[in-house]
Amino acid sequence: MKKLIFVVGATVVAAGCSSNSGPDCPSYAPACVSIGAGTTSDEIETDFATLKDGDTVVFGAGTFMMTDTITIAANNVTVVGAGKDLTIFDFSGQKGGDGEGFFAQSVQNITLKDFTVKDSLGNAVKVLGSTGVTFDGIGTMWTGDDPSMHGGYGLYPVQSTNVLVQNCEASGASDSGIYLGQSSEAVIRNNKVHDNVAGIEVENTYFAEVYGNDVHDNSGGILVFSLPGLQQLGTHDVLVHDNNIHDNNTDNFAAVGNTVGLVPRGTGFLVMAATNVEFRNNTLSNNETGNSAVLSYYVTQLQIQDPNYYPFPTKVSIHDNTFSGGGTLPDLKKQIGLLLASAQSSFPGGVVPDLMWDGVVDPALTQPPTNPNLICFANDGSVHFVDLHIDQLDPNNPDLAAVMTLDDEPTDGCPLAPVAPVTFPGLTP
Amino acid sequence: MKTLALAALAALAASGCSSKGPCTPGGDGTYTTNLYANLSDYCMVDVENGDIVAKDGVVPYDESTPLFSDYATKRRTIWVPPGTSATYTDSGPFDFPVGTIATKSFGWNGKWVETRVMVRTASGWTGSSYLWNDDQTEATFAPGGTYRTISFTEPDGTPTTTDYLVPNKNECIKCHENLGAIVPIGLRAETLNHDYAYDTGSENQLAHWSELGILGGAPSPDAAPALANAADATLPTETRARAYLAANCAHCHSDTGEARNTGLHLGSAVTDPYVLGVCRPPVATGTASGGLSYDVAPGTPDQSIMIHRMQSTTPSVMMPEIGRSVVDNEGVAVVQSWIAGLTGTCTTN
Repeated sequence: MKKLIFVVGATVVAAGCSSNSGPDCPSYAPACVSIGAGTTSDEIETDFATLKDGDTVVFGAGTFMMTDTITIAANNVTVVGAGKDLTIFDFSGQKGGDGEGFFAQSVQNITLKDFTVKDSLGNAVKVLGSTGVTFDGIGTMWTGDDPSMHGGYGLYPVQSTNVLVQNCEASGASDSGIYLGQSSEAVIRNNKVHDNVAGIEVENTYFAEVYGNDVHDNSGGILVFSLPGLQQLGTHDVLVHDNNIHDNNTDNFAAVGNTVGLVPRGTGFLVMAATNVEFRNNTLSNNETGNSAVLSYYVTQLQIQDPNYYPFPTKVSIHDNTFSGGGTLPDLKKQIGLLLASAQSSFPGGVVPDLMWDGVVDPALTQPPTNPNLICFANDGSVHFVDLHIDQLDPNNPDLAAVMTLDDEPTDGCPLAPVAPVTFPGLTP
Repeated sequence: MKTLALAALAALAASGCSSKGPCTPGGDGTYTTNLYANLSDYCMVDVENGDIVAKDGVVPYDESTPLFSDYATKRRTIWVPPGTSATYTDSGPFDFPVGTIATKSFGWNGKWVETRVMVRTASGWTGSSYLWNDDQTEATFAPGGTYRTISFTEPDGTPTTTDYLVPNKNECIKCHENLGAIVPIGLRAETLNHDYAYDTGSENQLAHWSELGILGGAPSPDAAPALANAADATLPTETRARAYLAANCAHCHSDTGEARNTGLHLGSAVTDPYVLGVCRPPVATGTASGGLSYDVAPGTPDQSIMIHRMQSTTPSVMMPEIGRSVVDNEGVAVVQSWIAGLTGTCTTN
């Protein structure tokens, strides 16, 4: 119960906050709720239930044992801790609620900064249907012995606009460390993302930029794709650059049935059924199923029941990346991994090429004739390329080596125009 | 003289706080600016002989298929300011006038735990839970929510003790928010369009509200949509299951609710089997899928994620996400038999 709630003018902040265990309010926060170590879950929830638009909530260092979700319903709210390693919200004692750690819905301008969310039963931080979403210096982690029982998503902005995720560390999620879904205008930069099933997923999202991230020891590193049956369909205008994507060889521990559960361990970068995607200047190494792949939805072998869904990748440009290692040990527990392994001896040097395309062409597209889907590769060093032609496989007796072609990258219509970096109001470079 | 006047005002305020004293629904009217500290300040309900009853001028109502809340007994009331009325619409909540107050009380074994109050302010709906005291004489403003240990006997005879969640004010949005606005859930045509046993006799609620003048523009009940009673065993299984899903899921699982991002929509108007979950792979389900491949697997309820989540009591797995801590066995059985009766198989390409 060591807690101080006050609303003060900025000019008296220093004098007003210094004598309690709750931290000082930052100078930018004239309306501030300060919460010190030892404050109970019920007290914290009451504070959040009575927040006003524009409030800032400042947490001191310490571990806050939460029994319920922290829900934010006001606009222009900032929640700031003492640091990712200093302010910890521990949800291991979560009894009820929806299982999320932090949750906000339909708010304007929410900023979460400098704390860690640990062991939430479900997703760590979910923000739905909001405009102006910033996660800065947030940690999400799970410590349970059985990783398949960890929450699904670490940082989970969905159906939101003007999203910034930076300087965060997302680990241990049983689906995705950073999952950007059905959003638009989003930047994911300079994060550490590791030991999740998927590191960073960009799904059914328009205008996203993903750069400067260190993505390692997940099952799959960075996935850009589009799924059927959702409110916002398609993924387009995604720029992924200057990331370090390495050693994503953790066994896929996602629950069966989830699309991400189909991803083989050892996947570096994957783009599926998305349009206008540029992947450049990344470093990819030691992703053992394969460093990169361009795929249609057909590789999932799932039925498409959504008449408005477009299953093909188009206008995908992969260039100026640095590849090393990788492709040495495809995941035999996943179908695509098994398929690749079956042709391993036919690949150059016995390893899966760094550049892969499933070769499924939209029959409705005709121009340019030899590359109507506009899949382009350039300047990736002395790497190999494979067109899997999976549409030519005999389902009863799949023989990849018989249908695939090597080192004949499509070139018609290349190079593609660059995908523009994302900008939105308030975003600093 | 001033001091005396203030003292008299204070005495008046004190007597106004008594739940048994004479009062007028709405109290002093300031609730549209700040929610009252005590439930009695709204002058909506009394506890009489262990039951919640509506005060004079306040209308009790119920729903054809109620939301399941740990087998709670529920009592609902509505009041609109004199001279005003709600505007009827076929789908979605009616448009209520500023000043409207709705209450919903939750109790077990004749003991009331919480009463939730929703009020219509000039800027929209807001609300909070009020927690009843042990003597059942007053319920007090509890925006932070809490847990209450409750014990009761389930319909099948099983004795149960559980930690019931009184939601905090922000958790209300999980169910009540619709594209950014807080809205009532049950105050709409299909859930109200059936008879209620008033003190004056049984009558259709839409007709009764129209007669009272608190609802304008309603057609005759025959011409308004009506949701079935999912507990009515004489009705077809599909009718019962769809009513159950509409009442328990569709406030989130709609194109404007909290689960809109899932694409799984369960309202009574949905007809596309895929949108209802048939052969639909999970999207953002995570471990909650229980290792199953489809929301609804025709003919096999035990292979259906929908049943798996309805049967769970683990936060993050269970559905609904919030609002229960035990399984609604009877509701699960209805949805199970609907799925068992569906034909077809889910195929891959």
